[in-house]
Amino acid sequence: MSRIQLKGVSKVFPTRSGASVAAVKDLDLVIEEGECFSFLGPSGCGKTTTLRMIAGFEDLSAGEIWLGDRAVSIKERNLYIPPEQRGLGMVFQSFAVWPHLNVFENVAFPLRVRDLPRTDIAEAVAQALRHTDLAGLEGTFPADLSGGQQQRIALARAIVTKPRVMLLDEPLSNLDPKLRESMRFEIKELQRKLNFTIVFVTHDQAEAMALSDRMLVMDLGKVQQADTPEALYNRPASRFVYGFLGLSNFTDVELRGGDLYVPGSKYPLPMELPAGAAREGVMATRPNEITLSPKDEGGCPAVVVKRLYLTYCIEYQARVGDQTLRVHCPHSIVLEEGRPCFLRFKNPRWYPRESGRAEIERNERQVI
Amino acid sequence: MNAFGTKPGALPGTAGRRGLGLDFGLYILSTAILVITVLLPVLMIAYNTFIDGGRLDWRMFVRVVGDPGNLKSVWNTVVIALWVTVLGTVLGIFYAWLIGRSDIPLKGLMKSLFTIPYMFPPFFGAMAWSLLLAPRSGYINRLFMDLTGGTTPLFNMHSIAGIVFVETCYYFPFVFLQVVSALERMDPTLEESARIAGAGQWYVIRRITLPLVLPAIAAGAMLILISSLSHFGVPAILGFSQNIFTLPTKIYQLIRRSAGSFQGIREAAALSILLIVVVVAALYVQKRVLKTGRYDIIKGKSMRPMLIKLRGARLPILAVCLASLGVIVVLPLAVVILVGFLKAYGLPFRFENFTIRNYQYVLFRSRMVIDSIRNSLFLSVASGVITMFLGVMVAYVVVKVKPRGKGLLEILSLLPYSMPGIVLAIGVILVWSGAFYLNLYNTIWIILIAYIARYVSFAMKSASASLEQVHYSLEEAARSCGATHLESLRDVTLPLIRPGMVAGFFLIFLPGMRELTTSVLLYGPFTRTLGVAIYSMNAEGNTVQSSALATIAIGIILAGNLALRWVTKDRKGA
Amino acid sequence: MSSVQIDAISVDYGKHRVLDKLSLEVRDGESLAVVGPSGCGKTTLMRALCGFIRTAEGQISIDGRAVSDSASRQFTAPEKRNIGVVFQDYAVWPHLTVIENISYPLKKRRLPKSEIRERALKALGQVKMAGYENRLPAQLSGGQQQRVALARALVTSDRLIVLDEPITNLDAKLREEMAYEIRSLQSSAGVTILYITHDQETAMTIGDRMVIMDRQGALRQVGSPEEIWTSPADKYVFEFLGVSNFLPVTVRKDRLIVRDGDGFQEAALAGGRIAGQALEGLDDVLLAVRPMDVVLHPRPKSGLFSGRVERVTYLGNQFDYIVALGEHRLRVQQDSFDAFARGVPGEGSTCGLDLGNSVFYRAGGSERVDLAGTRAGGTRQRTEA
Repeated sequence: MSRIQLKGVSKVFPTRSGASVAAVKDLDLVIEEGECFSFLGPSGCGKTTTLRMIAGFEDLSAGEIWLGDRAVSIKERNLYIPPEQRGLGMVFQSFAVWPHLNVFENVAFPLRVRDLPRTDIAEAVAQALRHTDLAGLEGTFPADLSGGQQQRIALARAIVTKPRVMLLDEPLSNLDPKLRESMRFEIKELQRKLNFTIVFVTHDQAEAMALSDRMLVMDLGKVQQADTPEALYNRPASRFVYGFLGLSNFTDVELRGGDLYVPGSKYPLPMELPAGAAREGVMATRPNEITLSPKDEGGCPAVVVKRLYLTYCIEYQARVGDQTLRVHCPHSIVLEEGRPCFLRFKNPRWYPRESGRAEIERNERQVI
Repeated sequence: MNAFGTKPGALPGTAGRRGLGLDFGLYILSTAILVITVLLPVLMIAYNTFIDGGRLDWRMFVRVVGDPGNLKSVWNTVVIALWVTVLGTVLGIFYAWLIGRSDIPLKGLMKSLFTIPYMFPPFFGAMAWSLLLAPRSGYINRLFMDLTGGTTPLFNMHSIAGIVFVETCYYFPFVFLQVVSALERMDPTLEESARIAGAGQWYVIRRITLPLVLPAIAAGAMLILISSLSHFGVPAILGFSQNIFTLPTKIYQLIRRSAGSFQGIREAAALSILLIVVVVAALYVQKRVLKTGRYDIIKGKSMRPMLIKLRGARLPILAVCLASLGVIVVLPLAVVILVGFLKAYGLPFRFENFTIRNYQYVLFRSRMVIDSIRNSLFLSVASGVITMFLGVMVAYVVVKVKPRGKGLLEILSLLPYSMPGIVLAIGVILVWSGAFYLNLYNTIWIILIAYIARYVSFAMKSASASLEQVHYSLEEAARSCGATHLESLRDVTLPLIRPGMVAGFFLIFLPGMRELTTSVLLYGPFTRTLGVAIYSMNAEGNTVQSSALATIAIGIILAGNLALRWVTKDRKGA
Repeated sequence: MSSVQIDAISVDYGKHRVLDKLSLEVRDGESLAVVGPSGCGKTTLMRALCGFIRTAEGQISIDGRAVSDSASRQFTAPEKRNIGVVFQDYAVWPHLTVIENISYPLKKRRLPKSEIRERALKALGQVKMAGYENRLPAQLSGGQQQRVALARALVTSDRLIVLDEPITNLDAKLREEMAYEIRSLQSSAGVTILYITHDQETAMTIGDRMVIMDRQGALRQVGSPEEIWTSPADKYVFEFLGVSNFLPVTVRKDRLIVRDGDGFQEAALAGGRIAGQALEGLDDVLLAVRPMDVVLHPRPKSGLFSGRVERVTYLGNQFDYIVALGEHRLRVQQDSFDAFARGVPGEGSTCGLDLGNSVFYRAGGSERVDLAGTRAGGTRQRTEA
């Protein structure tokens, strides 16, 4: 019933200069019943637009959207079901709690629209407030509540009608980091209890990883990769996905006589030659997946150029040839700046070099 | 950051003795000027009403208040103001919603047309509608009577209903502009979340949109109410011939009839007290209404709101909008301009009846008109410059220096904002006609003083808005770079508020050019203003000449508005 | 380079005392980061030093010369203190171009035109903004505006610069970048820096030494980032620096004991008997440990506490666990590479917890217990009212 299907969905917006930009290009996707599915990407990648098309706030430029076996948007047939008839729950980044209504009235609103009997409304609202830890605040107005409580009102309002699908548009971005973390688990807990499908939009990769069964990384309106968090993190399909999912070093590498070298370095890198490697490429590594040691244990020779004492680690900036890599070590490893060291890479990935064009396009999209 | 970091430090004493002296001097000077120009007139009205020959005397006040004619004018004032408020609010909300939330075309055009009534004085509209719908001579009424062959006019503009109609046309933008800006600033997800909760479009408008913009509606409605209560021009033009009086026109009549006798002025002062009471009551209601429901509805993420599709109703509604805009905005202006070219009022609009003689007359032959244009230019420019500097000084003291008594200063500078122009004029007469060894009556200076008192609120508001933008750290940065207190004001603060000052000047210059209410009580034989000249020519039956002069005024005001727009646009670049 | 001596200053806002007899030294040529929660008075401290507010008590001297002394009512105007300031909101003048902004302090000193331009351009180069000299601030991003403010501070003073960090204006990445650059500018330009921030990570990156303030405006600890991180003076500092676990324990000889339901659990105490001597006899001891410093074994192990895994979250670079130990919940984070190597326990399973890397506090967390042999650094300074 609550399976969501997008077939060839596109959305084109006119820009101020009169041109048009494709916010979403030809998107095919199935979100399974009961799944927690995240859209992840930088701002302007089209993730919010996609969510708003599912909600019915944006019309499609092409394609179809199905909720279960019910078509809600089909461009070709000019079919469009308005948001109020789609039976979805939704929570917004800005909370969108109505300031002129108290907590009870806010949560009761969806039921009052449906003209339910008073006793049913009171019961359903009480239950929703219990689920969201708001019991006892019925008569309070949102302005007197904290950001976290306001977002809980929004959650209660979204679950009070027991929707099968919950759309979450960056619901945690306006909360402080501590609260953001605990709300993540509250949402997950609610899903476990009430068993709805979650479609979640965020730009925070940790949030997406912590919540999702599957996630989709979007860039420039197109799908980059869709998979489980583990698969995405460990086998990113592109340099963009790699860079988006965590701290990363992208080191220029060249192929010379069957070995890989960092430009300007005469030592070959201690790694195997990737299949189908081009003459030039980029080695992607994560700072915490590099071991740095003062002794030569078969590592790549480097020089410590900077040491920073951080809370969760010591960061060394190590120079190899003309490239600098960030390496995160436990606090127990202490090496002075200027000392030679040796690096070993645990799980390096290999990507072709990227032209600067994508970055320019990304910046332009943010302006629109 | 700490909680006090944002509290402007007001540089306590950092400037050393000399700098503190400067700030203190400005404080004393501002207070003194405001007390003399604003507070003294009000005190003199109260004094002259209740004190006779050095003793408290209620009798005159009781007699004036009890007079049936005066009571009738109070009644008219209130009835007109309430009707105008209700109609103007409904009209304003309707158009604001259409432009803020529907997919109606030509939004930009309509939005700028809707602000036109804002620029012109309502008494122009009264003149135009009188030309069209005066009971016997109005063009439309004559056409109607010719067609029906009867003697009943289609509509009598010289009536309470006519006054209500014209004032509504000119005052509804107050609500329109407030609500449009509230709708534009409102977070669209507030409405979207109601849609997703299952509510249809109309339900959302009723239960979410309207309640959320209620504070904006209330603010706009109160502006209409207060403006209408103290309005003079429209009831003067449309009401006198039918003996319909409102409080402001009654006060005017008392003064004119008394021909300068002190008793007449005292009675007018007593009526002024009555008008002040009505306005203060309205302000009190406004405060109560605005207190409940101050919501934060500003949007977080920039998003275009979902526009409501009018579908089939789109074109009919557009037609209604354009037609009503035509009636409210274009028609009166067109009529005034056309009549200004007629050989005589009443002639049909045919080519052979057109002439430019009226312009030759008003521009070159009538000494009175030439004087009035010169006077108005002088008064607007002089009051613009003086008031703007006064406003900057007061605003600087209130916003930056923050002395203990800044509350008094603020109240004094904002008081004229809600004080009816006609009341202010009486106060100015009482102060400057020799009561304090200085008689400026019948000179241009008394009008200048009245203008300064009347417009100081505008200047103060605009100057404090631009001073608030100059965060105190900008001045402190200059200090830490080696600039003294005075140098930091000269190098940083002043250049930053300069565009605001120029805009502030125009905000005084423009209403100054069309001012009628205050100057109509203060002018002498050689000190008529443009507004007074148009008004009195019209009252004396020189219709075509007054229309020609009104056309000239329209030109000047349009030019001024273009200049203002140019100046404020320039500001964004900086 | 300059040194700053702040000697028992107090600052009042109306009736509210924001700083109370605060003393602090900024050493010649160092970069000192002051970090504390919002509202702790750190911005007030900076404003008092710059001369934007007067102190109610105490003395401030720069290079041994008093600039503010409440006792002798002496007060040097801000323009005469010769301190470069970078404000929280940058305070770049919007009506002046970049080069005009940077030249302003030099103009006030009436230097010859050619020298002004030369020095301004040099500063612009130092903050990597060469080529932007004729832009207006409105045409610059937030980060670029901050660079202009920094350049202006550099030409104002080559001896002492005070920076108040913007809170919301910059994203985390940009903040990190700026921190690196300020650090390298400091070493190349040889200027003394006082850096005000609310972010402990930035403070550790920028400061040779850092100062931790509490909400009441008192200094809790002053020391190098390493000293403060390895030996936080009290529970407040420990907690302020990052996600923390606190566990009340009892120590018997070389054993750690915690209550678990009706019974107890025991584990070996790292540091053995020597550490045990310092801790034994204290009624209640608070064990403090960072989530990353716990080693989680997928199965219980002798000599370790065992706990029940309540929640496992995969975050890509690390695993995040909630583990129940008695009535307490411990937050544990493990590098995912190590976690995969050691094995990831499932939710509901029992695991072994190695708390070897812990710090101990006396009951209430007011004072750290100095374990013999593990010499703690960190000069502790407490200002007593």
